[in-house]
Amino acid sequence: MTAEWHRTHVAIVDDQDMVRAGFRMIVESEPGLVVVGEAASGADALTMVSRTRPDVTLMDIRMPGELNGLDVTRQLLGTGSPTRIVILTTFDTDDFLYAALDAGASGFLLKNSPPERLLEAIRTVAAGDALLEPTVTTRVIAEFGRRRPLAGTDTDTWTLTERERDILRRVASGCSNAEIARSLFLSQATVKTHVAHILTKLGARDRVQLVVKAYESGFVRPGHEQ
Amino acid sequence: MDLRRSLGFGSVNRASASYAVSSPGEPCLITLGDDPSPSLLILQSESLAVEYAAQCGGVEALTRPGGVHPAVAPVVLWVLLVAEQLAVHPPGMLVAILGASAVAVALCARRSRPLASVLVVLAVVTVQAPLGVSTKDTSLPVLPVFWAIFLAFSALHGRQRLVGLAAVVVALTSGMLLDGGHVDLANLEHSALFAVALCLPAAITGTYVDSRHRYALALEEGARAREAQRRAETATAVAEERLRIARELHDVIAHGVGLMGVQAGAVRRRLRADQKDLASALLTVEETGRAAITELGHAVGVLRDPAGEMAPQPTLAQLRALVEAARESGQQVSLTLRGPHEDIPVGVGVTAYRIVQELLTNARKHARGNHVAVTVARGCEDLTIEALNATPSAGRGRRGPSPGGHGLIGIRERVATYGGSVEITNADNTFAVTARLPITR
Repeated sequence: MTAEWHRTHVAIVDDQDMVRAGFRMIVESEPGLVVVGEAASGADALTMVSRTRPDVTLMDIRMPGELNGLDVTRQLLGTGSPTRIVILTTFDTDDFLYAALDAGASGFLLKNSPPERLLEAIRTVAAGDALLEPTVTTRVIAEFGRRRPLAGTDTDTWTLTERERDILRRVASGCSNAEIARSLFLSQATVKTHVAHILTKLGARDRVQLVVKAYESGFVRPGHEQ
Repeated sequence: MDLRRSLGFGSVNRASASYAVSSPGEPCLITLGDDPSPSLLILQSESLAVEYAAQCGGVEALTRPGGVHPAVAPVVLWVLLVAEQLAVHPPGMLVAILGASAVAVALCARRSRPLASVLVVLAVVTVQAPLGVSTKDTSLPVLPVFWAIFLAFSALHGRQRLVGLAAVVVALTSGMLLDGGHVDLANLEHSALFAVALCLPAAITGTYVDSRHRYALALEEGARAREAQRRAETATAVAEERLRIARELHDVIAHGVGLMGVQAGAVRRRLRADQKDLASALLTVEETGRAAITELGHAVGVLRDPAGEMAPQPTLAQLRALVEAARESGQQVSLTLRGPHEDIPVGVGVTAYRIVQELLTNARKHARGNHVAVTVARGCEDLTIEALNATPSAGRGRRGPSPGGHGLIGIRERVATYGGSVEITNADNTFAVTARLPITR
């Protein structure tokens, strides 16, 4: 019996031809990844993604026409598309970062990140985790820490166990699974399972959304580093 | 009102204008300083002349009424008075001639030192009567006093005027009371009427001339102030436009550099393990590119509008959409594209888009409802962008687009960035703007 070898399907959306060509070269240099579709505009991206159903979509945030990368992200995820979206941008500015997270993106990267990081992002996101630029993670946490909690979020309805609450606090502080495992004397697999449960209970899409919810609900307040 | 347009003048790029007023209500002369073909224009009133001069870019009053040398009139007066003395031979003739000379000299300085000349004239007149000059036989005291009163009202103000008038009173009293050195009270009544008859016309004429002069000064002042404000506004608009251009170009560059980095990274991935030096070189390309983009990001951030942009800089490919949007808002636009557009550099494409954008906005503001014909033609070594529209008929009360107006500053600045040229003509009821951008590869 041979194991089905599923290669990760990747779609590339960017208005510059040569950028798409460059990404295609990078992605296809990696065994286990294959490019299934390309698009140069928001409208084309919508049709392409629904046709090719990629696992991961690299999405340029800036595109001509009426739909930019964030619009497409919102529309795709709003209609329940299973693709996970990594937003790519030229400039590292906060404006787009939070909008991207709010839109439901799983990752946010600079277009000119080293190819190795791009590939790591695709693998991580395909596996269900979220990835942010390292410098960006701290900023996200700081920013969401500054935001006032949304009224009406009753954290008790989350029905988290004590252990899960511990883990959530650590996730909100930016700890990786390995770090959480070490600090709580658990195995990484256990931590991962707990995180998966927390995601479900909070209705969060991924780790990043978890951080967002933790701060917005007031569950974690700034200065609550664990 | 934009005089240049209503008078049918074409573009006047930079001119300093000076105007001369001949006399009230009469045509004025305008000369345009730096214009290659200097033209003389005759306008019907001084206020129009001042306004026109201001719009041309400079206000310099040339001369005031007459433009005659200040010594001419006093010399004429002297000749008259002396001739009269010699003809009539009244008592005290020599003193009178001396006095007339003194008066003439004093009056030569009436423009630069009005108060002094008035006082000297009146002093001479005052002193003459006790010295034996007859006030009845000749016009010697009359004309100088008349002139002095006129000056008191036309050239003196405030305290100086009071001083002058006081001197007039003294002079008149002396003249009325004394006659040839003798006090003559009978003369008084006769003279008083005469004095009034003398003073009133002089005062009225003087006041009139004074008010005209003040009016002209006020016009000039107003024109200068408006001119200064216009210059300041233009400078601001130019600066803002340059910021906009800089931001867009930095943005275009950043995306170009980004593209270079992605390609370099892609190639580096394909190298074999034994090609480490090649890999290292490409890594340098990538890292330098990242650093450059960071800095360009700072530049764009510093220069950008508060509202962030989520679309790349528009180029010729987006022209049709732009024209469509203009049509939807009610404008009549026709767009003609000529020549291959594929190999046009991004920066030139962005500039061309912005130029068309500005032309459409301009036409919407100033020639609403008229058809605009836009042509973008790719020539051998340049890109030509042209827009033609019919100008609204005169008298609609709209301010026409002036070549220095804010609407076209952007075009000039952008064209200048690329070393191109722009030509604006307004003739036969058609307003035409032609911009040329060189394309070098």
